Amino acid sequence: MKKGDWILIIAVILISGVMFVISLTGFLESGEKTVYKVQQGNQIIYSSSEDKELFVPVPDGEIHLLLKNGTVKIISSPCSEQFCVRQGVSSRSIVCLPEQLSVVVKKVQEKTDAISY
Amino acid sequence: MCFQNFNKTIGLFCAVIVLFIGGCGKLPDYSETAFLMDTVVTVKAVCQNETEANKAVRSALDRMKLVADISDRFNDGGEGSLYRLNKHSGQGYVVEKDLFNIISYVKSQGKSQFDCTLAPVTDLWQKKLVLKQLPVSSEINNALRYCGQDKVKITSDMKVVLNKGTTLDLGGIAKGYGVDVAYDVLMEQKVNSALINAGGNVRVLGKKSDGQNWRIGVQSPTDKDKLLTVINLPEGKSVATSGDYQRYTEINGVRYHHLLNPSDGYPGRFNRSATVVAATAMEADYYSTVFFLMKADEAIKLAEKKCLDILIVTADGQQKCSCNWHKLKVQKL
Repeated sequence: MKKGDWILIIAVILISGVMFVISLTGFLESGEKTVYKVQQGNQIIYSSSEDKELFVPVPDGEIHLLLKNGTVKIISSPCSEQFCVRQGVSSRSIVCLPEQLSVVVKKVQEKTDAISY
Repeated sequence: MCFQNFNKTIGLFCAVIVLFIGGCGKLPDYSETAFLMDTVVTVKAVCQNETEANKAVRSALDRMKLVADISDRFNDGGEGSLYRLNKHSGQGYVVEKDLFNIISYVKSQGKSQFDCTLAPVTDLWQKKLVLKQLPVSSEINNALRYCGQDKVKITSDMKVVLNKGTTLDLGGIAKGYGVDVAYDVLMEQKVNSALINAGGNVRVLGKKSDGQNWRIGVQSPTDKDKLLTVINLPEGKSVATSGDYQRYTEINGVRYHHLLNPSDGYPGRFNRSATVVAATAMEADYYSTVFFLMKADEAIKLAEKKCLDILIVTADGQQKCSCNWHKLKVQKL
């Protein structure tokens, strides 16, 4: 091979290496984006990245929740234990078990696949 | 000559790009969430074929639902269920195979801080805490009379005999068993990469589509929005956490949570949380409760003896772990 060939091969390897490093750092992906997913029972009620105030009808009344700036807060719930309301603002998830409602705030590009709690 | 070099370059460049894209391309994942066993369960399968993935995920959840029904002590799950077993307290009762497997596992572990006969004490606490009251010691001692692993006997014909007045609560272990059966279903359906998450009790199948281990965050017991650490969960393994911060009631500034010490019937006070990595979800579930209720140093000794990895946050906020825990930690996020 000629000198030019070697230069080309090295150039290609260098470019590939740079692209590989870039992919590892996640630089190619866009900035962090939030997606809210609200599910009641087995039904998804809301799945969007838009902030929203929701009133979800449940058997005992309605759950009032606020999805804002990548966080969720259950403002009121007719459940007896009120664990969900007492959780306050969460940037990950809130569940109201008696009313079978879950709200998950998923950060796209999150560095974990699940949380153990 | 220049033209020849140009062709070679383009060819080589395209080959590298194709390899790069092919190697880094992620397979799509399909997930479904359901409310089972008093928690939120998500099964995620990574697969090229959407129909097969959806079928596998659905089958896994259906299988978990069966375990949820037979291990529910409050609702009648039919013949051979826990509800009916508890109704037959004082007599022998033939239970479903899944239920028998769970009870046999608990029995096989011998006497420990995990006691599935604590239902009378748990019910007493719940009844009182709803009214913002505390049970008095005589009430607790009275309920404890019906508790103890020695009050449960199993026979080879899947019969379980409970002493009169003794009832079982499998809330601290059935979830783990459910995750394991879902895992088995996914294996049978030839899924190579999956994650099952039942309220923080997680088990993973294979690695992610990018060849990396699944990464699991461990929630801080003091701030629900923060992680203590992130671990690489090895293929096939499970992680579970028991803590005092999920289900509790505060009375006069004191937190009363649901993890009761079988020796005195009061909530465990040594630790804030215990996270266990084990070979199966049932084992992780069981031992996260056991270790939560033990003094941290004793828990770590026992964990190392049993080849389990644990991370404990003590009541005063110290983090203590088994010697191999650091090998699981993701060094750089």
